[in-house]
Amino acid sequence: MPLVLVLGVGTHMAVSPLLEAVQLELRAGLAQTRAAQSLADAERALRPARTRLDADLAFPASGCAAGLCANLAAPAADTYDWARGSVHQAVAGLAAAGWWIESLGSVAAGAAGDCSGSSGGCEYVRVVASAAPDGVRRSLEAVYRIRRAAGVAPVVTRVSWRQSQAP
Amino acid sequence: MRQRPPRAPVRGFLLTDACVALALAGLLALAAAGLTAQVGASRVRLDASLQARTTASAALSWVGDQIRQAGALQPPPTVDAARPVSPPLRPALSADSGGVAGDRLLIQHESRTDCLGNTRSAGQDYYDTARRPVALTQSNLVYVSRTATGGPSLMCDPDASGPATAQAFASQIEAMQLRFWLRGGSAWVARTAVSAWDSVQLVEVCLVLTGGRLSDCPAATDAVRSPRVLVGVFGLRNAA
Repeated sequence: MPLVLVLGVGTHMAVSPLLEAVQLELRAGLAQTRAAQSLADAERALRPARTRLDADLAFPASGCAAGLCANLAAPAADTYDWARGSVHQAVAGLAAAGWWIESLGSVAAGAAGDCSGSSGGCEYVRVVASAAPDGVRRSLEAVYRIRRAAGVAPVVTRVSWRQSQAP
Repeated sequence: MRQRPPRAPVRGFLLTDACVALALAGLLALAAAGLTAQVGASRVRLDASLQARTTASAALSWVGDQIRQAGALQPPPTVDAARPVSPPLRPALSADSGGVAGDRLLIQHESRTDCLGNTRSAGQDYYDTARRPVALTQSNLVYVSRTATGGPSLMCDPDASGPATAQAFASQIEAMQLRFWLRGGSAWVARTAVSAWDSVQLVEVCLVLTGGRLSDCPAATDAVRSPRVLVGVFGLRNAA
């Protein structure tokens, strides 16, 4: 009986740190998986917003409507309540995820080095997309230049891309 | 023939039994003490190793986030002919030697927040007189310091202005090795083989944990040979 007891205690002492190690590894792996999932979902939320840029963009004169926001009218992505807010366009199949497009302004062709040429002009927009599966929120921001000219399809070019992680 | 009656069993322990039991108990106690010491030492090593891996894993994820958005541009709040979008930040990143601690990575992007979480003062202009982005441009230098307080650590120096402003954000990291995938390339190349940083599309980051060596990082074989390194590959979302 004492032999069994000693062996049992010894086995427990030998195995318990290993189990703890496995548990920690699993937790760390889970956290990484959640972060990656958030990023992937935010990317999915960004996709319909990007598609929306190919169509005509009728920005409201003030405020936001149907996911389109007037210049300086979009909320701050990090403090916006994505669960209850009404500014963003929700994305089907993704919980607490969505996007909006803010007009930054436009310039005539040739008026700025970034919009060279002699026909059409350039419109600049900021797209914000966000998702928070499992509570880890990721917000992505991309700035696009849309070159419009009569008779041809608009040319949409991504100027910049960044990401942020809200607590 | 008369059968002898069986002898009554002896009750109680003999001295020999007691001695054998004592010896066995002693041996068991010695074995248990040795096992406890071994398990204790293994546990300390395991805890240290786990802590290093967990910290390095978070650091690798952070470096990856920085690399993905390297070159990010912050346009003016309102774009018009007088306030055009500034030209893209090029090159988005570059690297140089950090001596025995491996490579150093310099990441450029425009942001109100630097790599240490410090916020730039609001209201600054986005452009200088030549309409180049200056006020919000961050040049975050990521490197390993072996002389940092608390031991070898992964550091970030906002604006690459020198060690005085750098801070550690992950400890127990001995070195960092970088490899790059260039536009049109067919293999990973070392820092010394990159001549045009604009052509970098992917960055492979290898963090060497305490007890590991730079030679443990993937090289020609692309195989990670040691558990004391962590490797991640990250694409530049703002690549030229």
